[in-house]
Amino acid sequence: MFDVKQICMIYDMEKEEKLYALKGFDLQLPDRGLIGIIGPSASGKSTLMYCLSTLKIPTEGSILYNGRELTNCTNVERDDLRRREFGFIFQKHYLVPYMSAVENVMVAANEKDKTMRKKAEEILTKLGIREREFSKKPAKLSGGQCQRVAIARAVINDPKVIFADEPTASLDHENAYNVMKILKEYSLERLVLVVTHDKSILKDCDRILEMWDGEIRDASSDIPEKERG
Amino acid sequence: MLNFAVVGQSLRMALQNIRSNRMRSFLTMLGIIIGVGAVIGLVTIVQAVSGELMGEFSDLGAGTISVQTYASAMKYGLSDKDMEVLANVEGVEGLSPTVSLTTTSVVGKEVYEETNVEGKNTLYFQHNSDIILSGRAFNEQDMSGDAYVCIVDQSYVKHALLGKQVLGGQILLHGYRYTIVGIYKKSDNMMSMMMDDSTLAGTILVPYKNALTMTGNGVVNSLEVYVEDSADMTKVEERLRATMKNLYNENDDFFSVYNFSSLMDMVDSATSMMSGLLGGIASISLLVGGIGIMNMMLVSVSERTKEIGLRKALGATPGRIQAQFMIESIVLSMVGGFIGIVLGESIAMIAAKLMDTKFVFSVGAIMLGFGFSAAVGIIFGWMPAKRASELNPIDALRAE
Repeated sequence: MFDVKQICMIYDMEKEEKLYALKGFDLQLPDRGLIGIIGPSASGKSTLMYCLSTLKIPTEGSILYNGRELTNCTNVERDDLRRREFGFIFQKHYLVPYMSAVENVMVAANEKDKTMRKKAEEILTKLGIREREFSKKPAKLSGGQCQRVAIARAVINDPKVIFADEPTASLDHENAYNVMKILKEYSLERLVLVVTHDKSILKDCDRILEMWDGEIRDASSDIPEKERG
Repeated sequence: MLNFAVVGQSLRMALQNIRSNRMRSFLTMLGIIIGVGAVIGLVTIVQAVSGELMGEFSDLGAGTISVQTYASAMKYGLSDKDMEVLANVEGVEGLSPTVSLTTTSVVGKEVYEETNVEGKNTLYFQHNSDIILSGRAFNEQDMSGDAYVCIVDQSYVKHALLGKQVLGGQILLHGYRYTIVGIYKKSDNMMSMMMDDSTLAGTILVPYKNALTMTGNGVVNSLEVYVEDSADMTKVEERLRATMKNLYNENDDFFSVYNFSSLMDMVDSATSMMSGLLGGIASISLLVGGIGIMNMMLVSVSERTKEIGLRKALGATPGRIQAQFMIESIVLSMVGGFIGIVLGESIAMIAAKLMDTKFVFSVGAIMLGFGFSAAVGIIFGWMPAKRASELNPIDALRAE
């Protein structure tokens, strides 16, 4: 699905001492599966995710998405791609405070009709949100419920790729486990990329990529086979 | 591309956000409410007063030219011959002389010392057909000078004829017995009310030749000239003035010629100017209201940076983000405008009641109010909306 070649991201281009967030590496990602990207802070893992999801344009290199060069896309094409093919889950849920749970899911929906609303309700139900909570504002929902609403928002348009940036960082262990379980389920039909610095949540991943100072290595073998799902 | 669904969603979001910040939204709208309310209220009041004034002048003689003469050693007034000359002026349809005097009237055994008597001709009634309440107006036979018929006003009926036969009844005037053939409605305009003398028993209209006999001098000092529909009022007025000057031996100190239409034009332009001036002053508060909206929208953009970041990350185009905030600004402004219109119309209604004038429900003023508020929403919402649309999604999501 993704074919990354010599991707390089430099911050502070105008300064004498350039800051390399990504130091030029190749990477191939499949059409489906749960891929974990792990690494310490400022290792470049979020930057990689933003480049893959078109939220950032790499300074150098190429990103092919299903054979299409993302670095050459116009802003409108990038917006369109994110709207139609990508889903996003962030560290914080970023739910709109004055909207109900269902309306928050509908924010991302490409169509705003009744069918989509029904679909949003079905997804919320599947994610364990009860019907009486559909009309509740985020302030009336627990942290775990909010994150599940955010997951529903990410999948409402049936995206081909879900980008999850530290999706469990603000959750307790139980909720974190549940969120990863849901993401694992979704990864059976699509590509789910999870960026985290918490190795423990990646035990069900099909592949783990470790980032360190802007460079990447496959670390799948670091997790014993018996701990992986 | 913006479509109905996007506009609908933006509208819903705008209303949700306004509802969730009720007090702040209301205070922001207050500027627009006061601004639109003041513009609508003042414009409507001025329009009502203007309409009232125009009505008064119209009652006094729209489409007519008034000729007044003042007694001089040379000429006491206009004779029948003079009037014939004036009637033949190009563009003149006819003349209606007014001969007024105050005299004594007697009904049965009751004597009314102060009775106003006015002499009128048939043309007067042709041009004021709606004043006859019952009975009839004068006809050509009544104009011979020896027909003793009269028409009384409501005031005379109230003072002298209550409980007595009115139509067909008789009044003694200047030694002659006049038969009442009609009752007429005296003009209730402000000028008439100002000239109304409470000591008078009322007004009696008699054929103008009879009134001339009563005055004893046989001349007319006041007349109304009716102008043909196709004729130019100003030109007819000029011709009449020239004719009068000729009749007065090139001396224009002893007569005056008034064109009510030009007077009405003057009043109209004065009230329009006043309306514009007051509306202009009131629209300053609209400007202040607009700045209030811009301030609120800037605060809103700043508070909702993460929401904007999220929507952009999810693929919302800058155009959609801009539309969302523009629609919110317009909704805020137009809701304020609607309340302002209701407030302004209420003020105008109360003012009409207090000033005893007619309340005019002005569709134009309402359109003006809505137009103003929508314009304020667009103008003052544009900059914050533009700022929102230009936010970088990652920076917006990371903003604290």
